[in-house]
Amino acid sequence: MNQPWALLAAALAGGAGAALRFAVDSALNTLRRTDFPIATSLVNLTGSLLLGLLTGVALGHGNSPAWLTIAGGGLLGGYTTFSAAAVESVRLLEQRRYRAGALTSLGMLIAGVLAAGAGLLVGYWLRAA
Amino acid sequence: MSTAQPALPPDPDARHTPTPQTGSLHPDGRRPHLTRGRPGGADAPPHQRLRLLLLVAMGGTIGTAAREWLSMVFPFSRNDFGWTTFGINLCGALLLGLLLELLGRRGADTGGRRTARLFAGTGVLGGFTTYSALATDSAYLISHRPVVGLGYAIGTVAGGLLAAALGIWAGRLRLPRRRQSQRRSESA
Repeated sequence: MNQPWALLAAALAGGAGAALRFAVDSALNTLRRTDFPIATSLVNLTGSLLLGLLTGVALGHGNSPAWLTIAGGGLLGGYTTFSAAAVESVRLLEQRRYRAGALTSLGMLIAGVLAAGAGLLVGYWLRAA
Repeated sequence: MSTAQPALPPDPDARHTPTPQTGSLHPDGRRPHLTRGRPGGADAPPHQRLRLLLLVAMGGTIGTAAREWLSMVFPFSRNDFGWTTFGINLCGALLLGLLLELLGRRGADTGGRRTARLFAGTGVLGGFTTYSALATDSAYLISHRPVVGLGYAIGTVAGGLLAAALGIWAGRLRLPRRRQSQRRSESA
């Protein structure tokens, strides 16, 4: 993707994704007040599943179509976040909450890769169908 | 953050009513969650919530643009270790740790500090870093080159923890300023 318009669209989509992440976090906050960063996990897992799905579909249509840049790298890239997950995990570990910290770092990685892998498989299958 | 009292009333406009958040920032090492707590905006009135949402969206646009631009300048193959995403995620984790630590040191998560956190933290750095690409690239890479894929996935998460810890640590290094303010409060 080298067209400037696709980069611009991806950036705007990323802004929407970030706002969506913020909205999910705020909504979960009113439902349940917990110390465990559940919102980041939920956002990252759903985003990983969806990006896997889109990527699986796109792999059949050349390497990187513009819509994948916008919806994948833009929207889902802005929706999901690595920095918050890392900082939250460090804080949990700092508080000696090792199980929770392992869950938000290693646990989320395993779950995220599995979710993305499942998405990729479904995407391949959808493309083939 | 659980240490923030849920019973406290909402804080509709922090600039006018800087509610002290007792216990949520100092000194027990517990600091406000990145996007958690009353200041998240969930219980703010609609006009305020929209302002916060736009703030995050603006930051997210900038962060995503930077990430996409870097991915264009430093392209990488799906079949290789994604150094670009790796670098982006580690830098973002370091900067977020630093930012949140510095903001937490300065006081309660209200007014300008909350604006800075939501714009630069939740928005810019949240949008700059990405988990979906990490997960998807890892899943693809693991299925094609298991060792590289596992190295990429685990290396990113381990490196991210180190980077975030380094950022937080760097944020605590502002000793001269703190000493000064302590001295001032002692003499007062």
